[in-house]
Amino acid sequence: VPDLTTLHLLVLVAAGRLGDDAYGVTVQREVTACCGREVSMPAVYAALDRLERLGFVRRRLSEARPERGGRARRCYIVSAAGRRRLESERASALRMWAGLPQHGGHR
Amino acid sequence: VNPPRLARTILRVLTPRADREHLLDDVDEAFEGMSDRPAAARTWYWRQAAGAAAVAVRRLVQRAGMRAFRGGAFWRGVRLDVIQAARSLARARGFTLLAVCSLGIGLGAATSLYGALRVVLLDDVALERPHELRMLFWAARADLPVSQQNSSGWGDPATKRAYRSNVSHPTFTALKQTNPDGVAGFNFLPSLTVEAPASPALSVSGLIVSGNAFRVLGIPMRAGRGLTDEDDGPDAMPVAVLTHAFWTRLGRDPGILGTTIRVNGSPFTVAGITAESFRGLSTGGRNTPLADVIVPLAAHPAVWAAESQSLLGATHVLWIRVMQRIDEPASEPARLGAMKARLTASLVETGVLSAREATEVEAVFRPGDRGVDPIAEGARTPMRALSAVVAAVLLVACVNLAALLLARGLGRQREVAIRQAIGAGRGRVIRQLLVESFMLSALGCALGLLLTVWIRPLIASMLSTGFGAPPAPLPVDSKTLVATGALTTLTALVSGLLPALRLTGGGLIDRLRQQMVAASAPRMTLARTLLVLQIAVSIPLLLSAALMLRSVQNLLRVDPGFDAAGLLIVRVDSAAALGQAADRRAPDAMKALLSRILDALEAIPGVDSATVVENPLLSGLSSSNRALIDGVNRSMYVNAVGPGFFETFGIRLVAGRAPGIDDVGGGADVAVINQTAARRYFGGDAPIGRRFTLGARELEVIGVAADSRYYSLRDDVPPTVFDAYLQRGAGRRLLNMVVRSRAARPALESAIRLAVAQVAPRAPVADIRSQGEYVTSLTGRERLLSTLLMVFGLFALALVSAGLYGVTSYAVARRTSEIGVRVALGARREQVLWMVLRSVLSVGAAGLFIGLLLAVWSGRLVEAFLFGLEPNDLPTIAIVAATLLTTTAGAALVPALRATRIDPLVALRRE
Repeated sequence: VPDLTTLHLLVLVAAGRLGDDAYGVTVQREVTACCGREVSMPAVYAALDRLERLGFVRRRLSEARPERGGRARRCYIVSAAGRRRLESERASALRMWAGLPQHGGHR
Repeated sequence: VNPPRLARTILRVLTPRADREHLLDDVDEAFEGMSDRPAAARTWYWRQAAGAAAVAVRRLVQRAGMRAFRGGAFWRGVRLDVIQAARSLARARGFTLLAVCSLGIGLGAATSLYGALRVVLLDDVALERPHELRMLFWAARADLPVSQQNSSGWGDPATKRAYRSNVSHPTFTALKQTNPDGVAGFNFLPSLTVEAPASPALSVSGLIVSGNAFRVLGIPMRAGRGLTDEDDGPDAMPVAVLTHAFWTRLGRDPGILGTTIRVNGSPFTVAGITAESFRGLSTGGRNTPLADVIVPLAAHPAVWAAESQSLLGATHVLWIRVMQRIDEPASEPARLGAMKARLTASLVETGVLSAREATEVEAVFRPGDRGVDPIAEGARTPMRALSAVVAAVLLVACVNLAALLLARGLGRQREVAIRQAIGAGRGRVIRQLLVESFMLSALGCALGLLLTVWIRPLIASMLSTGFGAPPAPLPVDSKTLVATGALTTLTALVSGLLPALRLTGGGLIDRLRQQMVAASAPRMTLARTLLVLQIAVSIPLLLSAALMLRSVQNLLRVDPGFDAAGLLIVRVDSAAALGQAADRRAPDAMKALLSRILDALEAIPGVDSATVVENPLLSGLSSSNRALIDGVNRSMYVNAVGPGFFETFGIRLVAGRAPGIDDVGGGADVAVINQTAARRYFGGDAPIGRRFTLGARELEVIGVAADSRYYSLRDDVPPTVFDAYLQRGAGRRLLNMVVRSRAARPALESAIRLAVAQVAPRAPVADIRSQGEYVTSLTGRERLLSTLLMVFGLFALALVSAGLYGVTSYAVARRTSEIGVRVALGARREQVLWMVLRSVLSVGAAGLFIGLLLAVWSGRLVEAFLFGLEPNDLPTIAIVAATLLTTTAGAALVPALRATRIDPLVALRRE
């Protein structure tokens, strides 16, 4: 199973949450909004690139957008492999977190 | 709000091509989403650029790392070398800064200057196969009795012959017969008024062309049709073609085809719109502007500025420029020969030349691939000089890097010897030194790229000498960038390899031992030779810059013969003011309009006087005509002046009176001549009351004025006649009103616009300029050249001092123990100081000597632009020499002072 860095994982989750509407701008916004973590667009692109090479996301082009001078957006959809990976990440994370006492266990 | 351009460039450059467009679109979209907080959005944008840099570095490291593991030890070693080189460069911060800056400056200067060169020298007009086009110029004696209108040309002072671009309509018709499908005629219409439906009256410029011009030149069309021979017939319906630029200005209405527009009040049907690429038959300029409207020659009575009667049969009015297409290179001499023969025959037939003079006619072709391009014509020599400058700056930068690397190499004997002693192979050490050189050149190239982006707009704005014309955008030339980058990299390689070989060769023990004793000073012969070379190359640069600067000063110090301070030239479109063509011919209407405008202008508080003039003085505009004085044919410069001209310009009347408001058409035509004309053509004795013929008119001399400059600050005052504006027929389209005032400019300008609008509501004020601006524009070429030379001269000087500083610092560092010994043996501080300075000054003196020899040759390149001094002007040379020696000493002073502070005990303990 290939290793994913935190950023890769965050981007994959964001893409999964966004469904059909996942592209550079929304993914970056989602990561920043949920985690308060500033990610640059090139970093988002690099992460999406790696996720694509691992087969977790697939890219497609949207219809032409008038507001972008008639150019299409590059959108991403989480693939079946990506879904499975998300599920296993979620399951292991939940298992892991479940054992952690609230407030660090000091009371 | 626009994204920060530099950040966007960085993003673009650093993003892999496959992602580039999408990523930029995404970043821009997110940026636009933040437009309510522009400051934060800009910061955010810069963070994206920084992120791109981080990702690029990570990607590079990853790729290099993976290769190292795949490709084995070699690449792994290189990777270590890179890390070590980065550390070693970071340690020697001063050296790295010097080397990177000098490389970057040289590279940036060279690429941006070359971009400018390309625009001025190489870019052609958007015509079919432009390299086949030739402009015709012909020469005969300079004082030909003809009236030239909007012409280009040049004089040959040696033979007293003048090359001209223009011919009369009968001559053009004759020339066209030699090759009806290859010879076209045209000229520029610098100032027109166009009224389109649903648009206010616009002040535009245009072209007037022969009917076959669209076909011969291959002017590309977007919609409708171009002009044809039928449109150029005597009874043709007046039609016009709009350029894409003007069509856009009118609102891009596709329905404009077939509608009627008014050009200078006369109706024209719009036949077509040119393609976007076509901007005109020139690269811009005051008298050769880019085109908005194109009309046929037959339409000239409506649009040609100087005449309202037909010029079709006029033999002595030269108003058409001739272009020929040479589709077979081999046929060029034959075509030129045919042209010359027909031209000569026509000039004799039309009575312009006598049969005897016809043998002296010469004709030449000039390349027409850039259309008529006065900037390029005048700029070819300085541009050639500038390309020498580019080469010089680049050379200096490379030499500088070499000298610095050599000096640094010498300082590393110990380090290298120790590394070899503990087991590093020779190849390994050389490789490490080379990696270091390459890293330096890469950093220098990056800085050069940044500088190119920054310098470009500066150079573009310097290139636009005329006012009004926006600077042409300068392309970043990727080929140049690659070429200069390759050159600097090669320099880095060679100058890194040389010390590397020298350092690693020879017996190890000897080298180590040599380090241990207080070695004698390294002579650094090669580094010093390079410095001498560098200084030598920058001398011609500095000298040319200083010569040009003083020439500009001299030019601006020339007494124009009138008082330029406080003069404003207001150009008003009279065609629009007077309305229909019929009214315009009536002198009374013109007189009424003029006195109304002049009265309104003089009523403005702070305005002392106002007048009207055909050609504003020192504006680059002038007219000349043939004169018949006492039965002798003469050529005279002519200017039509209104009432109050001499008073407004502050030109003294030596005798007689000036034309007044009552000197209108109908009465006897009157004129004032200047002193030069009185002396040369009227024998100097009481010319007042004498009569002579100017063109077709009989004039009576009523006054003599003091000499004043007319079209040039350089040339002597020409024999000039000032005739009465109101007697010159009322066909002028553009009134040049001149106002003398003591009021502040912005307030005055709006007052003038208001006054004109009240008197003549339909007349647009085309522009308002001070006399000073005209003079500045007239000296534009000289100022452009001197500024560019100065900028690059200073670059070179900065590079030289950086190199001297670096090399001297190393020399001092290397001689620390020697100096320590000297001080211990009783050398005084000033002796140490002098010892260091002396060696640097000897380098400076040698460079100066060679440089002055080079300057003798380079002086010829700028000689044509000098005014009031010779290329070998001693004071200027002295100033340059002093500047250079001062800089040399200054650059060496800091390390020299450091040498005087060497403590002998500390120095000796180091051994």
